[in-house]
Amino acid sequence: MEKTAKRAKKGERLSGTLTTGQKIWQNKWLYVMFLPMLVLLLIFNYYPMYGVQLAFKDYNIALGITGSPWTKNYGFNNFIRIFKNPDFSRALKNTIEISVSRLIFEFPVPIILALLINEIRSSKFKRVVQTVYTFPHFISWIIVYGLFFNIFNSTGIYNQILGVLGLPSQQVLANPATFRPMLYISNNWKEMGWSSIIYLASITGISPDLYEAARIDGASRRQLVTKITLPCIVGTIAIMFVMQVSSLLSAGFDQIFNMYNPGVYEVADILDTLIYRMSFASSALGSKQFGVTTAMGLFCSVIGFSLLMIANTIVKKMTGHGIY
Amino acid sequence: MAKTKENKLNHATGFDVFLYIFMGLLAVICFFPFYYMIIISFADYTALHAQTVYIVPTVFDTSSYEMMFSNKAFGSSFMVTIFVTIVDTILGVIISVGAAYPMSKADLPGRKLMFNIMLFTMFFSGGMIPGYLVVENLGMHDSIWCMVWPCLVSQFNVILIKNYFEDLPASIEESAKIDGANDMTILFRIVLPMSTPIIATIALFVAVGTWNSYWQAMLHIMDNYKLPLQMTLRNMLMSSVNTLPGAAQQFASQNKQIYTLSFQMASVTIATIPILLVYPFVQKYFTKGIMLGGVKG
Repeated sequence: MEKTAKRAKKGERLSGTLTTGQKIWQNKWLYVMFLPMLVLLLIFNYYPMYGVQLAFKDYNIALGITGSPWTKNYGFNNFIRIFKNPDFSRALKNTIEISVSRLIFEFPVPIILALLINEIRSSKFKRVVQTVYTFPHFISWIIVYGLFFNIFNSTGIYNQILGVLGLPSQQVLANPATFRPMLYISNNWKEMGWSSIIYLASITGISPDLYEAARIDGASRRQLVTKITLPCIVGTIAIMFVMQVSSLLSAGFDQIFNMYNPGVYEVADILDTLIYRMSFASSALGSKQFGVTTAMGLFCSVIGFSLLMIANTIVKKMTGHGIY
Repeated sequence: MAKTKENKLNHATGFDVFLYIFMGLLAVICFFPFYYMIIISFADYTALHAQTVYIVPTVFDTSSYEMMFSNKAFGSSFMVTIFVTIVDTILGVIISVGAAYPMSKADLPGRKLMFNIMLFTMFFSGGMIPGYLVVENLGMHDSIWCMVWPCLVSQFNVILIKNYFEDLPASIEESAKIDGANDMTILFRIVLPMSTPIIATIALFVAVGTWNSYWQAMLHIMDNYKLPLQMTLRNMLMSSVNTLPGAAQQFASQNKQIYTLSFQMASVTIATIPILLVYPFVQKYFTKGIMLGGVKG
């Protein structure tokens, strides 16, 4: 009774009997504040979506996006061309293989790291190691490549140590057999600390009462982790999993683009790097390829978006948590 | 009761020792590339080959740094990056706060729509080419503004700020509104002074992100003197001695002792130091920021 009265009073104070129009006028400054963001989104995020029609056109720089003619085969010629292109099939295969491997070799790492950090009792030691683990997140992939090249090049410390052990020197960054493991190692090195923060944050949110009760019941330290901590952060894990799955077709452009070289294209060339090279690397072909590369980009966007929807629905059904 | 407690403590020590050693080693491994970067940047060719495994620095040769600072392209790219970082940080924070504040108002008509307009762009994009054409058609070809305007939107940052605003007590704002303050006044006089931690975090995120960015510059900048630091760095790392920038190449041919890698690592070190300097400030706040953003999605 009292609650209802309170709510009614609050409603009256906030909106009273105003119509939606009056409410909007009253809050006009709030909409003005949103305007710069809206303009930027429209120009740099939504307007390019209009340019997606290039996927169905033969781009001619003189005629522009709207003026360029539609392709043969009811506009689907670019798509037919990409599926006949052996570089595209190779890049698609590499992209999926690398993404799936990342789920295996990278996704669990920050979860395990967070659980281990959480077990550290000295808060000083905890702070120091966390500082060290997180720092590489803030440097660019260009610098990370520099650091790894420094260690693994023919005169670097890695090959010096191999030399001491009497082993032949190795070019791990230029060798197709070792390039992919190097991708997973360098990405874990760069991102594991940062990614673990979100899990640590969700561990911090667990009520200490749960642990207290379990301890009284005689639970061991391992049981506390497997029976309380893990089940409590499963929602966060689910959300991160959805995000990871939906990026199946973007296997980490920034990293691969800065680390790969022609010697490892066969195992490292992914869709995004292929799109970049086809569009910009050869000035001879250049903009003539824009129709085809836009088609490739659209293919990635559509699959990525669908995967996000599917993964989110499944995870939401299973755990009750999703991204929206 | 006392007995179980004692048992648990005994049980724990073994694991704890392992944990401390493991986490300590991991930290050393994580830090090592930076250490190695610095010692190589001060090394010269002879010193590097005098030891079978060069891990304890024996020389302190600053010629790589001298060469780099006398390099014109490097100097100009430094200035470009500093300019772009300052402009992006100021504009980026203003725009993100402006978008986050209305979204944090629970009873604002159209609030959901604003949020969804923004959210959709996180999950679907026109792709590389249409984005490239928009920037070119806006006349940003070979202009340093191509590193500013297309890079100001960060949906992630807006969500973090919005969640922070939502957690502020609503009563203060309401009473100010009753006293006749408009939304602009409330934002600047009441909400922002209470939000310094999140604003600092976001400013540092934007600053570090801009410092590290190279994508737009790689697509649109043709003039070497307008390239940002990361692009100059990238060009240096991808090149051998023959394609090093003018001064370095001259130096390398005159002085055989100079080690290309030492020059490259000196550049990498210089590009890392500013981040190292702001990192303690970022770290102070980001755990809190991520926590708020992460838990509420």
